[in-house]
Amino acid sequence: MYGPSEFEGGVFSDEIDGGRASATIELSTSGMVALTSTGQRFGILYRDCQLDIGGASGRMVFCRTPDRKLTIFCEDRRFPAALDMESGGELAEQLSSVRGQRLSEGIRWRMWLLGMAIVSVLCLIGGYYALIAVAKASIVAVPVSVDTKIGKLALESLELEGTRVTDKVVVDAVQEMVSRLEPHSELKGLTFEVRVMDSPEVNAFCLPGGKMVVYTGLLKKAKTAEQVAGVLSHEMAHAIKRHGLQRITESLGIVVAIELMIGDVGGLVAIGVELGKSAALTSYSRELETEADIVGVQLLHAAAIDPLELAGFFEMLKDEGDDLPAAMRWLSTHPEHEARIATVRGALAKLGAQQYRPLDIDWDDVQQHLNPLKDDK
Amino acid sequence: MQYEILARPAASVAKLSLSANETITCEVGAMIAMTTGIAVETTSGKKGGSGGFMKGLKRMFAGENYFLNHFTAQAPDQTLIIGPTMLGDIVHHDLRGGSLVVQGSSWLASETGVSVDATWQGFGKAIFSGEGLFWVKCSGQGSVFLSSFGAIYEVDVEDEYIVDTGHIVAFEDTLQFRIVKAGRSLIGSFLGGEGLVCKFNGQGKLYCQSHNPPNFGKLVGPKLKPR
Repeated sequence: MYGPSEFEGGVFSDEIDGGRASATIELSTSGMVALTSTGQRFGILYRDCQLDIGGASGRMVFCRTPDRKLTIFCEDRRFPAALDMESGGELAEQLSSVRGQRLSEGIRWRMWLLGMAIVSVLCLIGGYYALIAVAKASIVAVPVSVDTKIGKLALESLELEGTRVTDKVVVDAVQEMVSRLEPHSELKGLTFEVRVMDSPEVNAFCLPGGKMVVYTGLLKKAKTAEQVAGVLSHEMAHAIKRHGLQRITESLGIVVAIELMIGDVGGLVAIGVELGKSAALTSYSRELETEADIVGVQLLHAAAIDPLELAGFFEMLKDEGDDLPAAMRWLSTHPEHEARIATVRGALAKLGAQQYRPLDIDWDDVQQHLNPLKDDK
Repeated sequence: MQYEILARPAASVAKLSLSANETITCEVGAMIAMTTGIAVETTSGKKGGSGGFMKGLKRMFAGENYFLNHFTAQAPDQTLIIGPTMLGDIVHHDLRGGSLVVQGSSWLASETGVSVDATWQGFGKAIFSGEGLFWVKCSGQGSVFLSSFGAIYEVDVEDEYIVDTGHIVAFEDTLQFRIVKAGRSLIGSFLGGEGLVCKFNGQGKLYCQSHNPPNFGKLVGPKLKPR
């Protein structure tokens, strides 16, 4: 057992067999004495003592004579404080220097490690986003037939709300809207097919490739045929801008990026169908929704349908406020009405003059044909 | 205990002569041959002791085995021959207090007065020293036998000394090492094939090995036929 001024340590000296021995170090007011296990005594006066710090642990204190022929060392954590106290401040400056040396070493390593960690994390994040960007850019090279295949399989695997509407007046009216818009699609190879479902859900969506579904809830809510055409133009824009493929890339970024790079569109189709089952394929980010609004306005403008009708639809929904039924899923996944109205107006302001023509649809007749249909609302 | 190291340096074995009741602790699998008057006991800590669970786990992290074999002479004049797994050298170190820091897998055997534990040398050293995450720490008094890949050479460091990464066998606790670049510029260091090196400071004994196991593996591995 060691006393308050006794420590376990060691000695380096040519006088020791082998040059090194373990020793008990005793501190006094004038210096330190090391007593080895073989009975040899070595002493260093504080005034001659040169301190250093190191060893495998980085905290071993070495006390050397000026000629460096004798070194007494100790790893005990209490040793520096005891040395400071017993030496009456004679070694204070040297002790402060070795403590600072150890501290700066520790800080340097921590800073270095922190730097490495930050760089690694940045590289990982940068690499991930670079891969996603490459994948998105690669979508252009994917044939439109892949979109069509994904849309067809996704529609087959979806469980749609309600029953399919076969009423000729209703179906023809919706088909007329699509027929006016379709020729103005900037993406060639798409064939838009629309299916009307009898359900109170105020919703419509377009799967990759152009397979569309419109619920009667939306048709009943709209005041004019042009308002429905506005919603459809927005949905068609998703297919034209291939947002479905982008959605797949966002969901399973790295996997899809690798598949696109190796040209494995089969895997892409399988992922798309899986996403389609949970409706995740048509749940887009705010950026993609805004782009669809802008492209929808361009589509309406080109088809000579007044884009302000779409803004009017949003106005109507805005006025109805928060009393909207929960079934209005189309709204829940889309940006705020006011922002969308602004987007529509902003996009329209950038377009040239156009002579708008009303759709060749008797909307009152359509509404009459819709009324006998089941409505849970 | 008397010892003799035979067939140095390529295929070294240590021939240990034990008096009655003398014990030597060896790494698992180190025994090559022995006389019939030696009893073997396997524990995770000290011979006859308990509570070696954590030490055993730490040794595993350091690249050693969880268990230790204790060979005790039951009669006078017993002989035990031990050797390492790899082709290489064996060196004897007389530990007189303090501790010896040994790279994982280089500890071969030690007397019962020596405690065999594991120590952490910090992230930087773990990543760049070419050694394991943990090192074996031998503390106390007694003989320690170290093994290497290739020959071992011993250096009495007085101030500073540089060893290439992957060539350290063991060093006394009075030595400290840092990972530094071999040349002035980092790119030059790597182009010169040296990259990062271990720079020792202080005073104490350092053991280095002539060959580097990972480099040897990289050289030979691709030439081996797949099984």
